[in-house]
Amino acid sequence: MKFEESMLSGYLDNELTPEERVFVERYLESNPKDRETLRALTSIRDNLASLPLESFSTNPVEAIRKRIAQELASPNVNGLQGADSSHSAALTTNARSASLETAKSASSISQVPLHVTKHSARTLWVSLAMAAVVLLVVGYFASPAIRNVAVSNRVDPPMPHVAVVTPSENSVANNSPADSVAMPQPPLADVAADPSAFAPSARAMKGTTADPTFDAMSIPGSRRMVGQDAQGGVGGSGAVGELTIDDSTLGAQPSNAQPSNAQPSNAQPSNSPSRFLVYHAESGDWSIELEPTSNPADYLERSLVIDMPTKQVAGIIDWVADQLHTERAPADSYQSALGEAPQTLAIYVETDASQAASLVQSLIQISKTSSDSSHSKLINPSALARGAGDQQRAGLAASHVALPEPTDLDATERGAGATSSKLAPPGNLAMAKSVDSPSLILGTEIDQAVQQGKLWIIIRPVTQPVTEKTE
Amino acid sequence: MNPAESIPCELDEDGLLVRAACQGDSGAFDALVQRHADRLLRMVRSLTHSREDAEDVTQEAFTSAFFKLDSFAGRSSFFTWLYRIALNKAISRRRLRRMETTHDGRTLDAAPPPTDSQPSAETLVQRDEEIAKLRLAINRLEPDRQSVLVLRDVDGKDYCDIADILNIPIGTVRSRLHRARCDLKQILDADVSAFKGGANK
Repeated sequence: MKFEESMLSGYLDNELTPEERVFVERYLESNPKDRETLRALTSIRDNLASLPLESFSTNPVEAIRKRIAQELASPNVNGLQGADSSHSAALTTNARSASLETAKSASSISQVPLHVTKHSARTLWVSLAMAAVVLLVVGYFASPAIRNVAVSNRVDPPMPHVAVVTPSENSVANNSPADSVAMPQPPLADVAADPSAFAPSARAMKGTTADPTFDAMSIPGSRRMVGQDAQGGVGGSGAVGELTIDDSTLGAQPSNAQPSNAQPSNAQPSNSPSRFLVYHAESGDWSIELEPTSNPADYLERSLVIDMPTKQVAGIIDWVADQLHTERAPADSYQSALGEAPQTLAIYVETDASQAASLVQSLIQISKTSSDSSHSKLINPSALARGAGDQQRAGLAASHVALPEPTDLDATERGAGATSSKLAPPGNLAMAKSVDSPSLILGTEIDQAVQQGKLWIIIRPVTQPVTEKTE
Repeated sequence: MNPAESIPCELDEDGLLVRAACQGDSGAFDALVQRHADRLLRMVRSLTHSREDAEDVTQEAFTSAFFKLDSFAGRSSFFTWLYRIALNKAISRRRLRRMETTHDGRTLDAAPPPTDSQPSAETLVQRDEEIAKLRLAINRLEPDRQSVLVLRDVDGKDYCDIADILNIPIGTVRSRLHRARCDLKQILDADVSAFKGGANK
């Protein structure tokens, strides 16, 4: 038997087997240093155990009743902090309805007039949902330009966009600027207002299927911020399971790129190996998968990509988990998924349209509020507008998600061409200039992902802030 | 599916209360709050920066639990489920606080509350300071280690329960707990050294 330091804690807590206990006792006889450590640990344990038992300064039952009543009266049922009330109200319609049902059955919060609040709220949400549908229809038929663009681009009914994104260079080459401008569509909130129109249903991920084409891709790792040649090849391909994705498939290379063999300056988004953290809606559990769960095209285009400092990765995963009301604390899942080194992590969420919409909208909304804060931004959606590269798109985007003014990046930083022959370039992944604070990038088909309730959240930890480009 | 139906047949008292709450029994959720509020507060207090935060997080956890009651599958005890919710919220709150402050200074509300009777003022103040230091040190631990430490040394759970709550192997519980205690010792020792250093100057 070999001595491990943690045996001291096990010994202290009487959590060792009899054999281990005897072994540790013998070991301690000849190791005064560890005896001293054990004494110190005992002291710490005793101090912790003696922490005073605090009680609520107010009656917890009353306080929680009030809180529940406030939640019911507020549109922010799912905790959409700072979200625009009309949007969040619509976004949380489904979740709220479920909550109201719960509240109805759990009417034990007797001193709060839940029944009144509940019915009023339900009426309000139904009205909002109907209004949103009417606005969608009126908006669609009122504007020929919108209708034409929609018809030319889509066969299916027009779906709301979350934000305006930049087509890749390939896309630009094949489309006039007018064509490539995303149409002004209703905000995502309207999807959730009437999610049934888009056939949402709660679906739980039952298993994973590795896609054989996935190994042809690599995450846009170190090249991304230093602007290497989109055609060049740092990315390459990785073996299945290592999950490196060719950055060209993300279609987001600045046009003033450096030579392809250039090395990153100090930005080191992790690129290998990655893991998939999968949320199981039905059980509320998380699991770690080594292989993607769906077609890589979906993975790329139906995703949110978040570039963020490594130290904030855990926070964003916590936040996502919280939004999903996961029953299991995900901390250990992602800790083991991340391992010691920062790695790109893909969170696959399969849920209902309302919750997916809520998730996306919340991320955007948080970025809106964060951008006004003196603290580091959580999300920087202005990257979207900057990636779009023209004021018109920025304006459209702003009309939906109130993006900050896109002024600090020049138009050359719009997404450049992707060269993957296997995948259509998403063409929307504008590069954030700095990752001092996280930046959010939305896939071109994020709206479809939302309506289907299948969402990828790709987190790319960056170990250090990125320096300004010299060119 | 009726939430109540998802709960296993053999129910403990909490399980019965959850079922009753789901079926509209007035007072059932209140009873759950009364049963667990103080215990949860004590644990959350060790995970948050201030007493105010602890109360807020605890209330938030109960509120979330209320709205998610139908998703409680009964695979674990109600308190375990509640604790997981609270844990996530406490970690989020802690990160938020860290973003808001760039130093480890104590907030006003973290200061010991005034007391009416002071049998031995000096002893009381000293004790309060020690408690505050200990809480501050706990707050500086890595979240995963902090959770294990609080579950074991504050709430007195055994390794098996902790493994169940955090969904980690028992061996990991032991190693994390040990690291947490060692880290805590290091932090407290460093504080003492800093104090002595300051006094010498």
